[in-house]
Formats: sequence, C-alpha cells, structure tokens
Amino acid sequence: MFSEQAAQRAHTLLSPPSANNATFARVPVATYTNSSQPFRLGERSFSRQYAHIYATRLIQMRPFLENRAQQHWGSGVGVKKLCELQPEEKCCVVGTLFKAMPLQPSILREVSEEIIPPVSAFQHNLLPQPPRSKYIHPDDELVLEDELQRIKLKGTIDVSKLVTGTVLAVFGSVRDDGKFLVEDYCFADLAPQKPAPPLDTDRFVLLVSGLGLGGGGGESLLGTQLLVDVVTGQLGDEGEQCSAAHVSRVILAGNLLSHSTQSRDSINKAKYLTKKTQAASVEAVKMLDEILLQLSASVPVDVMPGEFDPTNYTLPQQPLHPCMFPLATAYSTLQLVTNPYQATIDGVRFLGTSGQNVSDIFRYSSMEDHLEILEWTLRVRHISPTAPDTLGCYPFYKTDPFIFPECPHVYFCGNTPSFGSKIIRGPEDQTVLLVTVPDFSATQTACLVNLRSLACQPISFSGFGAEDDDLGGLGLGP
Amino acid sequence: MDLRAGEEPQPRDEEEAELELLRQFDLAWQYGPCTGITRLQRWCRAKQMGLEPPPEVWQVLKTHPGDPRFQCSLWHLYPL
Repeated sequence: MFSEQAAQRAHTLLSPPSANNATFARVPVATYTNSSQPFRLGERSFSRQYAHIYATRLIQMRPFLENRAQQHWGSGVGVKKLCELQPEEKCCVVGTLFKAMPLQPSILREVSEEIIPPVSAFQHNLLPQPPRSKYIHPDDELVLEDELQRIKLKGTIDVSKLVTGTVLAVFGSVRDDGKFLVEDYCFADLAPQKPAPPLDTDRFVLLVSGLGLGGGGGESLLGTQLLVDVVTGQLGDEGEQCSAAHVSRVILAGNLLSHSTQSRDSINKAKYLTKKTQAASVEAVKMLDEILLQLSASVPVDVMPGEFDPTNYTLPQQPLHPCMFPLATAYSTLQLVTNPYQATIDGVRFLGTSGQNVSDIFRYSSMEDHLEILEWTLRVRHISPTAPDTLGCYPFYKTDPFIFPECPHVYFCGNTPSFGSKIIRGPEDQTVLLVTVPDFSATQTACLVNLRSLACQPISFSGFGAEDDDLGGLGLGP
Repeated sequence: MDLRAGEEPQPRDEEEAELELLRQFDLAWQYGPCTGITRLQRWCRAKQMGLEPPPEVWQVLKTHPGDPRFQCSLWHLYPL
C-alpha cells in the first residue's frame, strides 16, 4: 500500500545536495462529479410540520420493503395495512417504528416539573437530567405506525437495538391484547449498486475529520501541520513524496472547529467584561483558512461542515460560506460541500457524513460499535432514521433525501472515537467499504482509501509527547 | 327577462362543486398530509411518487391561479 511503495525507493535523505530536484506530479483527477444536489437547500420554509417527511419516507420505502418481504417470506405473503388486520391471521405489515423511551429528554417534562415539582424531586429529580451517553432503558416499547394507525409490537424483535424512524416490514399476527406478535422482521437492505470501473494505478483519497481548531491544544496543531506537510509532499524522502503524489483528493469530514469555540460563557458575563473579546471561532476560522490555503495549493480538498462548525444546525448542513476563507478560496481546488456529502471520484461513489447521524443512533440504541451502526444505516437504507425525532432536520415535504437511491462504494462517517474499516456485501453482490474516520484532535489518525483495491489504511501523525511510552511517531503504515 | 338573477347562481354552483372536489382531495389520506403546503404542491408530489392523483383536481387548480380559496389547503387559516 502506501508504505510499501515508499519503502521501495532509495533513501535520499542525508545525502549531499543534488543539482536537480526530483519533482512528482500529483495524479490528476480523471473524473469527479459532485452529486450532493439533493442535500442543497434553496429557499427555506419552516412553516411546515414534520409529518410530511415521515409520510414521504414511508411512501418511498414501501415498494422496497414489499419486495424484501416477498424474498424472505415467499411471494404469496399478504402485505396488509394495520386497518386490515384480522386477529390471529399471519401477515406482513410495513410501517415506521417509534420507540417510546421514558429516558428520552422531553422538553415538556422538564418544563412541567419546574412549575410543579413532584414530591420525589427531593429525592432524585432535583435538576434536569444531565446528558447521558445512552438513553435506552429496559422499559422501552416499540410501536409500528403506518399511514393511518399504530400498533404496539412484542415478540422476537430487538427493542433495544432499533431506533425511531426506521421503516421495516414485520411478519406475525395481531393478538387479543391488541399488540402485534412479531415472528420475524426485515429491512430494505442495500440499494442497487452500479459497479465501479476498474482503475489501473493506485490512487488514494485521504479522509480526515475532527481537526478541532481553536481547541487550545498544541498537540493536535502539530499533528495537523504534519498531515498538511505529508500530503503536500514536504515531508519524508523521495519514496514518501512519490507516495503522497498518489493522493488525489482530501476530504475533511466535519468538526474543523473545536467544541470549545461554541462556548457561550460571554453571554452570561457582564458587558464590560466581554467588550473587547471576540468569539473563539473567529481565530479558529483564520487558522483553518491558513491550513486550507496550504492544502488546496497542492491537492483538491472537499470541506464538509460538522456539528461545531459555523453553519446551520439541522441536517442537511449547508456548505461553509466562502467569505470565511479569503485566502483559500483563491484556489479552485477548494470545494465547500454539504453534510452529508456524495460524490463520484474516478468512478468510485463516495457517500459520507460528519458523524451526527451515527452518534445520535448510538445514544438511542444498544449498539456500541460505530462501525456496526454505520453498517446498520446502510442495511435499513436510510442515512439517519432518527431525524427529525432526535436529530435536527429540515422539514422536507417532497421527498426524504436521506434514503439511499443507490448503494455507494465507500460509505464513511466522521468524528468517531476510533478508526474502523470493513468491507460488507449485499444481497445483490454489492460491495461497500465502510470507514469510521476518527476524531483527529483526539487520535491524530487519518484514513487513506485506495480507490483501486477499495482498501483503507489508518495513518497517524502524532508527535512525541512527554507521556508517550510507545513510539507513536511518524508512522506511515500499520 | 331576468338575466342577472339567472347568471349568478350558475357559476357559484360550479365553484362550490370545484371547492368541494378540492376539499375531498385534501382529506384523501393516500396523498399524504395536506397542511403547510399548497394543493398544487401536494398534487405534484403525489404525481411524482406515482400515486396517480385525480387529473380533475389539477384542472381546477390551473383555472384558478392566485385564488387562496382554491390554492391553499383546507386548514391554511390555522397556523402550522
């Protein structure tokens, strides 16, 4: 891979200066198309309820689920609506899940308890619930909703794993207690995939997320500068520079600014204390502009916004405004893109988010591994089923743009606690490389995706800290 | 001859019938929620999703552009 190519060349460092400088031309991008148009919002109207997005989600997903139901339970299986159910009759129902969670933060509950505190408040519920990492509880209940009715589910269905907003097909029968006894269930599974044309040379795409600028940590700044130097070919000997020339694109997957740039302490302070201070994000954005300038002078860069970046909060997040980057926007290689982001690079379809979808499912599901959650979103054929319930979302009314129309070749999510990559196969021979891109400010690790072999390799850029026992130095390989 | 008395009830009956047709379109659950969007938007959405909305509704909407009694849904006077 990357490191093997580097090792093959002769070591040219520590040799007398030569008359001619070796130059390496970066691999040209043969084809690139940005297909994030469904995630761009034009004129925005918020005078709509979210019922539309759920209705369109169910209408769009229904044919896929009816197909899968027939594949799983025979072509003669009866697909019925909830209003047509007969007691004790085995049939299949397609609907949207709702999980009733007692621990789910509810603004109504918080407000009502403020006004009339219950007696038990003196024992334990004095303050509003502190944020927890998971809000699941053994008493959670699943309810299936279709266009007209809803019904509680019981039986062989994993309540703790599933989340609100998933569209699925259940097979079973309705019982005397009015609940639906589930014997089996299935999801829409992977969407159809067009095969990627084969490539003849190794080309790499570098995925980084969570640069976390403005966080005040000097460690991550060194790592970021090392990353920029490696990609622009200013580091290493000729072997490594040649390998770096094979990186055809860099994708920054969100959280370019640190969480601490969003602190709102100055709102609570007196005016005379905060008169001359400026928001922390101003300085951080200036730093980001300088880093992007160095990167885009050498390689095409796609910048996706994340949870802590200065753009809108609801999904899909719109691209950062070019006025914030006066230096870097001089280069046409800088592309400011949406979150989620979808593009075809040299025939390989990429689709990824900055991680808000995966971390929101993590909060409301028993699944622990971010890679497992990423695979699960692909299997239910929806990028973020918990939007708009627990994750902010724009009130779409025409279509739900988060349903996968086509299966990507590389599916990534940013800002995860650790690196992970896996290749999964679908029922119609789809092959997808899943990548969880770790938070760079914490792990100093980025991911290199080889477009030819669809393999992924972590690359870490840590400096030598005083506490480092094992040498996590400038490793260019596993 | 009392032409004036004869002219007005005719268009009003037709109009009433058309408005009734539009109200029934609003209340039909097959085409999704009707609040917050105009009837034309809802009709186009149903058409794009292959739900085959009645073409008569489109005809009526086309012949009365700009009239909020026709274009806006049944509940448009209520906020959200």
